[in-house]
Amino acid sequence: MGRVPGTIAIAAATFVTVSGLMAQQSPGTKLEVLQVRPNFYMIAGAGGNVSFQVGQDGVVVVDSGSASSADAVVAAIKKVTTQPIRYLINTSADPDHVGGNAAVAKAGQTLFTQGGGPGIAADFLGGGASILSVEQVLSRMSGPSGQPSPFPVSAWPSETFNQPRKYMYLNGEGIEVFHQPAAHTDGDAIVFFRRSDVVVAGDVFDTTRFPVIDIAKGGSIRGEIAALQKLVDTAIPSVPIVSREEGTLIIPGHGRLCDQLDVVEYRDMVTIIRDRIRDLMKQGLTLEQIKAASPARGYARRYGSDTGSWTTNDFVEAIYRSIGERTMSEKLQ
Amino acid sequence: MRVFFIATLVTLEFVTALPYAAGQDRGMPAKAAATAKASALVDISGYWVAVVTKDWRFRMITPRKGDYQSVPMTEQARTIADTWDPVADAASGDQCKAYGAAAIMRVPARFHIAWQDDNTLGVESDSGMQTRLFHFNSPPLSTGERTRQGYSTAQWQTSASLKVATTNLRAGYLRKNGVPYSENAAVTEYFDMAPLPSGGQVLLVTTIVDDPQYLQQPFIVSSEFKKEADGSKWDPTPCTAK
Amino acid sequence: MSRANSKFVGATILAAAFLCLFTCRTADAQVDITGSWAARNHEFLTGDGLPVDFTGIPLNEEGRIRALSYSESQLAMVERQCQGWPAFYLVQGPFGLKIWSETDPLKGNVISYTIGAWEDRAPLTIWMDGRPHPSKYAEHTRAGFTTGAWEGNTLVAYTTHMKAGFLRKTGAPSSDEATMTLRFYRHGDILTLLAIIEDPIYLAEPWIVSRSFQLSATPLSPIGPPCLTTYEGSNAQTAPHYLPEKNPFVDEMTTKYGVPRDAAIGKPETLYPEYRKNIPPAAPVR
Repeated sequence: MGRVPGTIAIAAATFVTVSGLMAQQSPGTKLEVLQVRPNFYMIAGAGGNVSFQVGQDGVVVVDSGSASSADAVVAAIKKVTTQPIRYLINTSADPDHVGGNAAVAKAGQTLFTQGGGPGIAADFLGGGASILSVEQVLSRMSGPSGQPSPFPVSAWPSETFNQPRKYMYLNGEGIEVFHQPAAHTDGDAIVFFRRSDVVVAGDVFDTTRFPVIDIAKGGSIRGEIAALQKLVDTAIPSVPIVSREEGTLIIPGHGRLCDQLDVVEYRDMVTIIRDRIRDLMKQGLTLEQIKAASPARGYARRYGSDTGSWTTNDFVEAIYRSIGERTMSEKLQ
Repeated sequence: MRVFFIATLVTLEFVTALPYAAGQDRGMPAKAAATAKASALVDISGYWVAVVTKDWRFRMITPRKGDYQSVPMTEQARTIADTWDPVADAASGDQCKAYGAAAIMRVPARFHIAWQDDNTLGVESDSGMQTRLFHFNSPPLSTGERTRQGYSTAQWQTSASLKVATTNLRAGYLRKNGVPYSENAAVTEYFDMAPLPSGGQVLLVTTIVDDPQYLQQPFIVSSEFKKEADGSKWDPTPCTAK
Repeated sequence: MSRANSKFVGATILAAAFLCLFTCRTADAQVDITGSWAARNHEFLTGDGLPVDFTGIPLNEEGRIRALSYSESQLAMVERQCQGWPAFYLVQGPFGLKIWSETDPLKGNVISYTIGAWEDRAPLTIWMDGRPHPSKYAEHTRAGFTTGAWEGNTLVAYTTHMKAGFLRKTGAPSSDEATMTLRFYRHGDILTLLAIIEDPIYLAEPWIVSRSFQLSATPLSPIGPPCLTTYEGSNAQTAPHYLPEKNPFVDEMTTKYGVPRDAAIGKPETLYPEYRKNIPPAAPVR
């Protein structure tokens, strides 16, 4: 141990920033900005989690949070960098993930500013950041023909895809956008930043509750488990030097920063509850009987709720209907 | 000017050195105070209930004959343990062999700790109805009758723990299924306290049994207790051999 | 100041510093917890390996159901082969502790203590410099995040941000909301750790457990061996488990050791002396 002269008082403890993970509160809001990698950030508290990558090409944002937090999200990004927002990628059409689309896009500047030739104006696409999503997200946000759109046009994705994988190379790394069909909904995407080694999962992975499986919007338990498996397969844990506690980071749709093992826990939880419900269905129990049997016990205290927009019983019912529809579908074939 | 400067500097050095000098005596007793009770650095008196979070099957029930897991026994000890006969023990009045000082704090019991006088701390157990006496400011006995609880000398440590050394033991059992300790065993214990985050207090007793005859190395265990408000759950029950 | 006086003052300061080498104390630790501390394993902490042994763990109903659904076949899953343990494995596992400190090179105060890793436990750093715990949105690790302070001669450390894991390898679970208060008591060459583990998800009350170590002249390794994964036949998108009330090993502790089922499955009342009145008479001595 060191020794110090007794006449010299020891100063107050030195505050040392934990590198990379010190939360900064945005003034006047409840947002927290966490630096996940040197060039990668997560914003929590804006509805759904917002993520953004920074580099010389500009900023790539994943999800924009809720409409009420949009200005704060833009301010938080601008506090980190003065580079323009180039791309906004949506992981689903949920309002707490796309509500800020218009504001975030407007605050940015599209990459596609070249006139290019006759008939193609400079700053085409309106000049704001491009908004990329799976095709189904545009369908949901624009609404069916003849009906009022739930979102303004300025919030709609400007670029969509319907193949399994879309990619781009910006800020020195490959960015893959994977369509995860029939998971949380029919329009889910997970985004993998390859060099940053960060996966943005959207609501297929939510550390605050059981996964929301929106049957009405094309979600299913099978797709949800497949999506979680995709996250597990994409991430790499800290092996063989486990003690380093490194590895791929995963940003869930809601909740804290995670790694592969956290997703494995979540995947296994969903799988086990599905197995229990399937077993009860094989025994011939009705939905109400299955709910009464509490198939989510052992996990409900951590992830469940009896109140709110997504309850434990909602989750159980979604699995039940999902299995039932699949079983019926198989019988009809 | 120079004299004043030197005097000030020397005074400051000694003033700041005094607390360290007091704390430097690792394991040495503080200066003798009037009585042990008055000089107690912590108050461990009261009713304490054992919380059996480890070795459950060796403590809450009588382990089966031959189950000696984790005890660093010598072959001689193993031979003796294999002959364990609780019926014979009870018949000969030795039903309290597993309640001696080397093992009593492992018994799932309530303990009542109270000052018998200003220099003697008493520790009673409801299970087995045993009484231990911790003698402060007293040298260890080199002769004298051997008893189940032996003779214990105690001293406060500057670390705010209580150190107790016990000798003059009758042979007994470290575990109820006959794992033996000899009459030459020496027991050293440390009593430390800690607050529970949600309120309440914990007493931690670290027990070290030295018995070269029956143990290959010192047997080190630690037992945890929670403080109770009073003795309303005190339930005296006699020793049982099995 | 005259040259003579300057020399005098300088000499006096040197003398004071020299004197202080023998009399002054550090502003923090009164005991030294650094070194290699060997495990003695004279108490049974990790469980016997029987699948349903939650004795001594005060599980609540949620924890018990989760524990009884656990199948050790999960360890064959590639993703779980290297999962390791949360920080409370310090007082649960069979290995010793290698502890070292980092000091501020200018001020000399201890900035941190680190307890070295092992093959299934990450290194645990106890920050002594007053830094706050991370955001609730920060990543959880095996070791968690720990801050410490001295209370007299006792080091008190507080750990949060641990991953979900197990309190015992037999499947008693811990959630990612668990916290641990760890106290270090040194008595001569014995170091006793007292852990108070709280888990609002799975524990009915704080789990109080301690373990002692002995100072070893033989240095312990500060790091553990690497962990390599391999395919052991587990199927993707399945998670081995037992359906409710279908765990086939629930009575093994009773059969082998005479431990009542309530104790084997970790009911909190089984930790206290009064439970002994509810235990059936022991089986005949063999």
